Amino acid sequence: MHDVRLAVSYPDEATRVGIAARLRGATVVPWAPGDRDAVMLCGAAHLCEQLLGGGAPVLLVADPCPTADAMESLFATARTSGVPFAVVNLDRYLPSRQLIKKQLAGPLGEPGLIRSHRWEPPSADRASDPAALPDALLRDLDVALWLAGRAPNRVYATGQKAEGAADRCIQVHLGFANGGMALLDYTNRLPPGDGYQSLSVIASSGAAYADDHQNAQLLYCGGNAQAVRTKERAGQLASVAQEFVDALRAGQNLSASATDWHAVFALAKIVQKSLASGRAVEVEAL
Amino acid sequence: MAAPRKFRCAVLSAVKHDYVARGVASHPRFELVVVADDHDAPAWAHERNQQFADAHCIPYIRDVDRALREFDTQVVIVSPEAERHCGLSIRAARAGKHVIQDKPLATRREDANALVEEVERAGVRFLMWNRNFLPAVLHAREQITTGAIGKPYAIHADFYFAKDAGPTRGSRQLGYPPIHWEAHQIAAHIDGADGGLGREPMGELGVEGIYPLGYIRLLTGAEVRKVFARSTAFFHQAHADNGVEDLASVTLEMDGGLLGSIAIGRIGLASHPSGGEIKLHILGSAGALVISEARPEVGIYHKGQPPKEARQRRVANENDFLLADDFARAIDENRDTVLGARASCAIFATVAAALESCRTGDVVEVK
Repeated sequence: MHDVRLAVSYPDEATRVGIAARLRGATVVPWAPGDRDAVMLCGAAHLCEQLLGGGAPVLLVADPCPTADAMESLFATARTSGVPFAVVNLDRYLPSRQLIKKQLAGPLGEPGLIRSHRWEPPSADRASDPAALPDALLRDLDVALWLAGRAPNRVYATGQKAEGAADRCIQVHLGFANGGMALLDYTNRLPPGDGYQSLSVIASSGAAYADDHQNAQLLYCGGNAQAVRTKERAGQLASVAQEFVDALRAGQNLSASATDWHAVFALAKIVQKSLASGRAVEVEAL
Repeated sequence: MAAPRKFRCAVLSAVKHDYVARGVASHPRFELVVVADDHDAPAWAHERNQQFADAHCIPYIRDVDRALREFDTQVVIVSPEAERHCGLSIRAARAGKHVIQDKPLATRREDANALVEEVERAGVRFLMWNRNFLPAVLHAREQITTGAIGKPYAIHADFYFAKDAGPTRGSRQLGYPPIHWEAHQIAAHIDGADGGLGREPMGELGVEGIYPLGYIRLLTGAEVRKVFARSTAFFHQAHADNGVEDLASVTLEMDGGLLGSIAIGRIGLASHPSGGEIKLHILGSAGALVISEARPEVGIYHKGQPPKEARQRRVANENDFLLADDFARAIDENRDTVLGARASCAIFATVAAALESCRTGDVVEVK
């Protein structure tokens, strides 16, 4: 099979060049109609509908994440037109998350307690819909479901939100039928600057700890030492693109992403229900 | 300058954690003078008590009341099986002795309440042994009190012990009986793998929950009002056979809208190279803290290193000395200790509510 001609929509030329340099079985081509086999959209969800209608396989990186309705509409269009379409959560492709997922299928065994913290400075995220969950928390829910490999059967969420303000602190607690559990902590109330992430998974035969704290280097420039994170996002988009290209070349069905996102948005609704009611919610299915 | 008053201590059973008595004795103001237990304590308990007494060249007597009467002690150190904690502490308080007690506070709410009443009625000091004076915890407290992160609004504690606890879950073969809790804990003492010594099975929340909840209390001063919790016997057959948890997570809702959580477990030796991941994540109005409880530490690696030996060794740890020092000063100044009876009872109530939440699946108010 010839190389897939992949058009990549990304605002940063250096990133596009980086993807092109790493891809196997594909060539990154200029963004021009007709001269491409597939399209990778990084956040430009508004282009999706037209591209899918035109018959091009599309990979959408969900950053920012489309709303549940918008995503459902896109998947419906793809189904109707028979075009391969996938929406990916970039966080799954962080090297640390990829490693943990692989290890869970191997020596770590069954996940028992998934614990994540994500702290961000305030942003305009979802300002138009203050009731919606923050994008980043949706992605964390997706990662938790992906790692757990099953839907929760019990959900409790609690949080703080200043009246009329966009800043939020939300804590989500999931219980799974096998006794497993997950605790997700999100806030967008950090002072402007770096955010923080950590993920630990306590599993039946071991544990994994991925934490910015462990990946910080020290910087001395007067006063107290400063912690500077070592970033792990360099090859992430290339990994996403490679998986898409490999799937296209192998003729694989991409519908799993629709199922996964449906589950994430269903879980998000339950989280919102728990937040609103102050009660734990039983989950029959997502 | 007058030398500070010294305290003579009776050790009322040293069958669970002799490190409590050793920790107290590390302070120059405390002197162990006698070990005592009730004459009807089990034979294995007498044996352990005798060993401890011999090691410290002090007498062991099988009569608690006599020990309280005759040895001119001011302080008792209580560390028997869990269900005897409160009884011994109450007897000591009635005799006018200040009490240092091992965890857990109690196995029943009524015992915990009775202990608080007796301690307050007798006007003695009470200290639940804890880890609140570890260097990293003190560092966190300093950062908070100096306003580095503003007013805390959320706090999370991970408290994992990377220890085994006998056979792994699912290992019991058909036809074999369930593991007997107390016998298992007695046998596990030799390598420190005994988690909740006593006749009644106890899970990690009940036994170790005092530690992370103690941190949260120290750092915020807030009472827990509501909890939602999940738990499971995920790793060990002894826990599964006896219906208690070795892994748990608790959402905490506290005074003033403060949010929190703990994740706790006895998660197996293989899960961490140095005894377990213990961490604090604290969010405040002006910033945040991520604290590793083990630091400062030194990495030690060598050929032939025993598998159970920690690769990262804690250093500059004065927790024992500082706890004993706080207790001595509390007696001197007639004030509460860093973790007194009423505070310990509040933590007990939080754990009890969490266990109820695990059973019901609902949010539970802490009473």
